[in-house]
Amino acid sequence: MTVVAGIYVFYISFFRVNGFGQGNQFVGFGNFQDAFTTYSLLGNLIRTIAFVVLAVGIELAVGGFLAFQLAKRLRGTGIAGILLLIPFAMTPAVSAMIFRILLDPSSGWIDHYLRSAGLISQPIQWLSNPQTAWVALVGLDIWSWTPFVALILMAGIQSMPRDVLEAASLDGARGWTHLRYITLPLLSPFIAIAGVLRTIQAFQTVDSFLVLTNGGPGGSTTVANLSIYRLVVQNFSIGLGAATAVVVLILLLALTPLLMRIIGKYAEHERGAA
Amino acid sequence: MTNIRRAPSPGAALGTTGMPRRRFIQYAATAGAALGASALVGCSTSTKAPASKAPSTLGPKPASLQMLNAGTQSDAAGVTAVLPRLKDELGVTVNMQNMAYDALQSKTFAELASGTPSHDIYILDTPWTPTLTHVLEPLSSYLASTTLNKGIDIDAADFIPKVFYDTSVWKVDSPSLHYPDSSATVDVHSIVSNGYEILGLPIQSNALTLAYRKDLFESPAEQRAFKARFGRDLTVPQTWDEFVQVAQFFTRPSQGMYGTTVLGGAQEGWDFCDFKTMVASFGGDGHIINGNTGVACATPQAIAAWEFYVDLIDKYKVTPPNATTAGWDQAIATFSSGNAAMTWNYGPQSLNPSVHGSIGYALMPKKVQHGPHFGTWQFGIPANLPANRKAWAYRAIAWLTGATAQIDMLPTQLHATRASVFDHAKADAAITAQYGNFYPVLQQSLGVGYGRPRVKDYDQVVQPLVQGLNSAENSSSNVAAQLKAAAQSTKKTLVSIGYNNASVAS
Repeated sequence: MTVVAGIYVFYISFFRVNGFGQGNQFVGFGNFQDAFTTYSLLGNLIRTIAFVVLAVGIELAVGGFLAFQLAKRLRGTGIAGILLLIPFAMTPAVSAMIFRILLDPSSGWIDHYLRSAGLISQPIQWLSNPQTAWVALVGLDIWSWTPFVALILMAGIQSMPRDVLEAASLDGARGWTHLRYITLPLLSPFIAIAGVLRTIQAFQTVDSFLVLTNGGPGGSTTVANLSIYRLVVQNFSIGLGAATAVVVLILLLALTPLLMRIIGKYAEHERGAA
Repeated sequence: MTNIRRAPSPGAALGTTGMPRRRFIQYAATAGAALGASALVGCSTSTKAPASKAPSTLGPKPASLQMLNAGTQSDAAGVTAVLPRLKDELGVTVNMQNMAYDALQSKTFAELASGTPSHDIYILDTPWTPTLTHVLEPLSSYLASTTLNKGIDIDAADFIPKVFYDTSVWKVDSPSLHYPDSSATVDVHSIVSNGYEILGLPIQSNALTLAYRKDLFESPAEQRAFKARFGRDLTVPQTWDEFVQVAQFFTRPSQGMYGTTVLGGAQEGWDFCDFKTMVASFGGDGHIINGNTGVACATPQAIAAWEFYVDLIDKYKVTPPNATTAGWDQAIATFSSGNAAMTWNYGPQSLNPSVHGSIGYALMPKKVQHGPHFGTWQFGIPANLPANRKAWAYRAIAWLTGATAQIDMLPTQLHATRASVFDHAKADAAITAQYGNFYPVLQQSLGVGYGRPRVKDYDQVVQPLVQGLNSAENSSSNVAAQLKAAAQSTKKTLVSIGYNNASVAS
């Protein structure tokens, strides 16, 4: 199924497709050329990669912190774990709608409480400014997906061999040394899995961009997937959309061996450690 | 529109927008359907523009007709209400399926491209039609047929000319062209003799109208204060100069009150349609892209118009803080909660009970002329249907778009397409009590308004404009440069989809 669909997308990317009577016209690499020169694909790809790196990086850091707190099994961590599931379980489009309402400079809670706390004097127009719009988009992704990362890492923390941890403690490993040389190496396969899964998911993000900014202000938050959505779903420009999708696919295919190598490396590391 | 998305619709304005809020999985599924449909291109219809040839007889009556409609448009409720009567009068059952905007467009395009449509009647947003001219049944001969119109008062001359020509009259092989005289009374013979065809019948017409807080405008205290400040009476603004004064007067940020809302968000139905209205009112081409694919978004009139719009936000500061991201829903929320004295949108407005006010409607202000944007919908029939299904589908849409059916749809807020229906609305006390003077103002607006540019791959073409306009809103010192860049990008896009003669109008 995957191969046939993939081959067809690749094939159709060399045609200008008109489904309404004019037939398909072979255009060679014309669609690819148009995608880069007329439809800003390079800029959209750079924005996509920046979004993925930033969002996934922060999610791994925050998710790791949360995982350690939850793994301590302190009072209230059970409830906290359940609460963490809420953003993860929410439909992305709904999350984006909620964020849009919260960020409204006229009536949103965020500006209201920032002003009430005296942190700002004028409302922040979150979605009108490219920088703050990106803060909102990355913030939404972090809110939605950090619980997912935290749950994976918590499973990793809870599966760490007690004897190794205790032996390290007896040998005097404390604080940063313990984290750097004992905990992180043991946790690394889980970090790799969370990172790889999130990277692939983050590349696919489109809902939050559609609902929150629709690529604006101007085109400053237009990512590759949003461009594909517009071309294929809104315009029925199948060939051009397919060409754009092929470029994204090639990027992901190029990235996949690297990501697999990361997983493999840490899996080897774990086997070695065990 | 909600969708969201693009089409300014009363349904969208009421918060049921068809804005694009699909999950990625839905997007992937739709894209898959679209790709699948493209695989069937080899089976699709020929490229030659078909002549209208209505069946000479009705033929066997189908057990039922299938109709695809837009769930977010106000005609959907009205059509649902009158379908039982259609069955009684025509003897045919119409099964209606409603869909949100994006899903509707994808399904419509995929089915029509496949050449084997599974519906007999499709509701069509006007910007879709340039792409679909070769797969829709030409209806001029149907309108002229006595057999097919038996028991139906088709009366084409009753359609509002601008609405009918903009929505339903097309040059099949050159769909970017507008009918040469869009104010002429609708006459099927003239349309055909001019080389145009009728590709559907209009059912819904949304135009940008100005709504204002009537209670504030009629308040003696406000009137005295306004006269003291500006030396003239407080009246509903007819011109943009008057509009600025009134908006400044009512802007009281400390009370959470602003003069007006705008639809400045980066969406076709928001900033681009506002732009169309502004450009037309400043004397420019309200279509923005003309019939010869000349892009008129950076003409002196267009630049002046958008500089003024941006000034409303940045210089006069008469808009709420969300102006450059606002869409239909935000404008409604601001106005209904009493935080704006004026607003513009595509349907009747309401106020929260706690506001204790009343609402009036007026034409969008002008600089040199009125030119509100309007967006319309029509019912069309696929060309690839058996003759008897086309004949019965035609009878159904002729009945649904007839004056009697449209009048019956008024209580559910149909934005009618016939002059006689507006006349009825004006004379109907119940409609006036429900919607105030909305219908007379809508009719006026349709008479002077401008539809969308007629280009294939519409969303693709206007996307650089949407982005450029929104960028200009956020960089007020550089409006002209942003518009000039948007004009060049739009031209490039037009060329990339085959409009090799595209140009930038100066």
